[in-house]
Amino acid sequence: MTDDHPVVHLCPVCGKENLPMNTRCVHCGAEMESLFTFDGLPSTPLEDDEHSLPDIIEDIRNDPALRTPAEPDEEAASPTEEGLTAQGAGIDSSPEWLSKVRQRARGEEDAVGGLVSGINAMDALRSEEGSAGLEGEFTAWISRIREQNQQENSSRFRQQQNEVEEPGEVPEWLQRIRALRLPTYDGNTQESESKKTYPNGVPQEWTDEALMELRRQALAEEGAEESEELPQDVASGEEEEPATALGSDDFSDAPEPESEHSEEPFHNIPEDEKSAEVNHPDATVDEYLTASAEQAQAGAHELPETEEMSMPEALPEEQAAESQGETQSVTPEPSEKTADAEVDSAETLAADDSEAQESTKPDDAPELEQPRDSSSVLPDLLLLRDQQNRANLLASLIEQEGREIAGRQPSKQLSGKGGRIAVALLLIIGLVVSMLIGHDAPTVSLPMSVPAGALNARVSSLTKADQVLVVLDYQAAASRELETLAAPVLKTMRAQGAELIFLTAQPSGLFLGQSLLEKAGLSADTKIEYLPGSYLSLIGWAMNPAAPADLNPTLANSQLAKHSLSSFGLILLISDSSENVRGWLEQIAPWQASSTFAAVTTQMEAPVLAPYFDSGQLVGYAFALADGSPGAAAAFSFRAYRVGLLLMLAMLVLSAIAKADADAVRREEERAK
Amino acid sequence: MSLSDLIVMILGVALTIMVFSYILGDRLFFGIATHILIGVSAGFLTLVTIQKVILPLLVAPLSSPAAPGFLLALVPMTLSILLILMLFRRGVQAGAIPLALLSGVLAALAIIGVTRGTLAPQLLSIFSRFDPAQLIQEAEPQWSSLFEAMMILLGVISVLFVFHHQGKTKTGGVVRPVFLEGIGSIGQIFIGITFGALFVGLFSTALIALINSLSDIITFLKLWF
Amino acid sequence: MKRILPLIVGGLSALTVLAAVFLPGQGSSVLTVLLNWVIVLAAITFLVAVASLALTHLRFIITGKKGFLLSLTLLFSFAVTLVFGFLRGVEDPVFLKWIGAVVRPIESALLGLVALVMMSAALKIFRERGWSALTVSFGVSAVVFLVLGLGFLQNLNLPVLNGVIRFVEGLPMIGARGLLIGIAIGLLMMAFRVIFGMEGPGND
Repeated sequence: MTDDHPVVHLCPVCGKENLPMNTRCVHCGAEMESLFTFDGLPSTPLEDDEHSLPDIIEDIRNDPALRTPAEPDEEAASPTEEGLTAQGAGIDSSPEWLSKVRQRARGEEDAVGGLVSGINAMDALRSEEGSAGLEGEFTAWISRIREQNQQENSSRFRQQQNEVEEPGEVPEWLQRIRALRLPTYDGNTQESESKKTYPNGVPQEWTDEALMELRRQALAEEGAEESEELPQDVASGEEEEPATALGSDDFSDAPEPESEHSEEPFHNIPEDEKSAEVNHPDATVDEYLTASAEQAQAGAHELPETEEMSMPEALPEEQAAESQGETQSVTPEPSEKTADAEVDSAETLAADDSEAQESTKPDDAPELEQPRDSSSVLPDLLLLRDQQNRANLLASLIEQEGREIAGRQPSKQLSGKGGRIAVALLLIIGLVVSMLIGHDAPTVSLPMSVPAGALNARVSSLTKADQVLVVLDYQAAASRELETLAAPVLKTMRAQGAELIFLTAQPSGLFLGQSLLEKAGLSADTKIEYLPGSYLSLIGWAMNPAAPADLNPTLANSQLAKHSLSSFGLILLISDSSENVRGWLEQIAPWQASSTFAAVTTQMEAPVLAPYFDSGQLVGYAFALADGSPGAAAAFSFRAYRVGLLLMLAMLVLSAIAKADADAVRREEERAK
Repeated sequence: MSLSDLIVMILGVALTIMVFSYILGDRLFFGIATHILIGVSAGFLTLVTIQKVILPLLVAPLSSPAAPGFLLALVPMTLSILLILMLFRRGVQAGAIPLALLSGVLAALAIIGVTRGTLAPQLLSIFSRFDPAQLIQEAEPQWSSLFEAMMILLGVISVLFVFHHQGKTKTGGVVRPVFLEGIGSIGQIFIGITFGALFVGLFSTALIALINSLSDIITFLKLWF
Repeated sequence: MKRILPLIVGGLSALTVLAAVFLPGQGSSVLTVLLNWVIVLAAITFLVAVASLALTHLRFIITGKKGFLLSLTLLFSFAVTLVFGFLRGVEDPVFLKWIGAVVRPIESALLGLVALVMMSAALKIFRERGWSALTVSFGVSAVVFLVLGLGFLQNLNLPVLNGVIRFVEGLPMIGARGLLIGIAIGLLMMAFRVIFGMEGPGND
């Protein structure tokens, strides 16, 4: 038995210690002959051995040294292969008389009884093994692979052991696992095989791949596509180990590389996280979340890279858990805990590291009870729960991004509101101060705009014979601006002696017109008629001025009935809506070749009317404050207007600077990253 | 200043301040002012509509059956009843007929008006700039006019391509040929220039209104201080 | 039937208008009658909307809904205007003066609020919209026209500068013309869709 590796083999060359399973010295590389050396048997190096296994067995049979009985009682107590082999060797080395008896019994089957029949069957089996060449070759190949794995494992074990443990010190978890394995190998191997999806049952050699597969199976992992290489490796590991050939050396080797982590049962949690971070340096949050969620939900649905890094660390606990499963098949009392309950209890236990250490620490309790204690803490599940919690937290944070949180809303609103109030107060104070300080508003003599100049020229050309239809088409909001612009134009018209007919296309023109008339110096008795439907009422009339007036009661009762639409040399539209001006130009103007159209509009609508001026559909239009001068300047404080424009200018420039600055900072941050 | 003028001034200042209280986050006085505006405007418009439209165009012809417009007035009368039925839940469907008449007439007018009043004159205006009589004066080419004409043509075409959204749909987006993208970018510049002018125009109009409102308040205060 | 009848009415009315336009003699009379109907219907539609507004606010008052005081204010001002208007007539100067005294300051102040809001919007316009051909040209254009609006450059009275100013002032026309033509084409398409029943009140 080499369970605890109490005995080390000395290298024949350098004299340093080596593990019993080493075929070569890990220090100098010299060949060690201790591997597969059974007590009392000569060493047979497999790599260089040209003989087949039957020959070896034959040699063993023929070796006189083996014919001596080799402590059958002690070996019989051992359930391992070594014991069985030794037992077999003891049987083979039976005295000659016994062989004769057996030979006779084979011939006379009835006389030998059941006991002898069983012995005969065993002999037949052994002779078959010896004669089966192909099978022997296969077994030799498997043995070589096993040896290779053992060398790797032992070298890893040596490194870790040098770092962490005293040489020859066996970790507690390993002791427990070995203890758990005992009853399984005693008589429950076949039962385990039937339970596991692992083809040949529990692997006797705990290679990384095999443990990975075990972990995957235990956690019901479904992501087979990500571990495509795993089945192959596992298969290779499985093939080398027949179910009945559980070598004690093989069994003792595998967990050793993980001995370092046995001291820190939960060390795999940060390591896994670290590996996840390492594997996702450029991954987006969503990808990371997805990966985390998959890990959390599917258990051990690891990424390939992460798997390799995290698996060895998680092995001891998983082995313990696996062992527990196997133990449960042996122990009569079934586990009453559900998986969730186990996780919860594990979380509770994991809160205190020392407590968790205690749970994994072997005590004087019977070996079969140890797995239950150790399995109550399932670090792997802990890891998943932790990851899941973090993933949920991150997901909720991302979901809440941009949403208004109840506690956050007021402060956010307040800042926006405060900024708005500050800007508004700045403008108001600026305007008020500019209106209050200094003398009266300065007289502004700015050059007229081109369209306003054209309008002025057209108005100046009016004569007493001309009739002008003035259409009021604006709301109260823009009335001040339009009155400021239109009043000088109307004054000029009046001065030219043209006849002015006032219509309003909006009901509001009825009360707004009076103010305009007053500013233009026109008689308060000037009639302003409301034209329902605006230009729609005039389309028919514009199409056919000779149409009977009674068809249109609106026109029949108005002062327009005395005129023809074509008699108006100029139709002046005072409008705050370019849409309405467009309607007049689209619906009326095409029918009135003799009439010209002009407009007085707000600065807001001026750019839209520019194409109509360019195309000649409008003879001109006034829109800027300067277009109404000198009346405009006298109407209100031009200084305040300039202050307002300057403030807006400052805001736009500030906005551009702030944006450029933010971009620069962002670029710097990106560069820094 | 007469008493009525003074009252009108006080009323105006009070209403202005109520509206400006919105800046400080007030909703009550601002709401009162706006609801007064809605109520007064709606009442005034209702009066004007009834007295200037309904009475002369609908009620007057129906009141004299012998008049030639009586039968003609029956049609809008019927359609008006259908419209009024829209006030009731079961009569909503009935309003579709008068609304269809409205949309049909306005659509036809739009076709005629847009074609004759906007499309034809504007397109002709673009091409008239390439008139040789304008580009060549006194046997000398007018390069500035040519440049202006070319720029207007390019600008209009590029602006039209900004709204040209036909293309292969790829993952929900619109994929356009590269040359269309380039022309569209030029169009964006022209649209940006126009929007900038509109922005300044709107601000100027609003600023003038603000100055006038503040001026009213200052004038009112000057009366007392 | 519910869908077909409005479609027929819309299509026929549109065809009638189109026919009337191309037959100016008798067509103008038909068009005048048809447009009178349209004006009446538009007026009735407005009245229906006002009635709906009044009923809604009346319901708010009856049910005591939050803000019913504002509804009360609205209905009160509406009723007072109606009563005084019926008593004195819509063209009465005193009536018009009082209407103007209420409407003008409120509308003017509301438009003034737009200036304040625009100031706030200008401060974050580039932060919100980022840099693009549209925003950059918009910003440059706005700055240029603001400077021109100040009138300082015009006061310099430099011929070259005046020529540049004239050129710059004409630039918005190009984009506006493109927009106008685009809108006109869109309107044309929409009008045809209405006439052919693809859009409109009957096409739910």
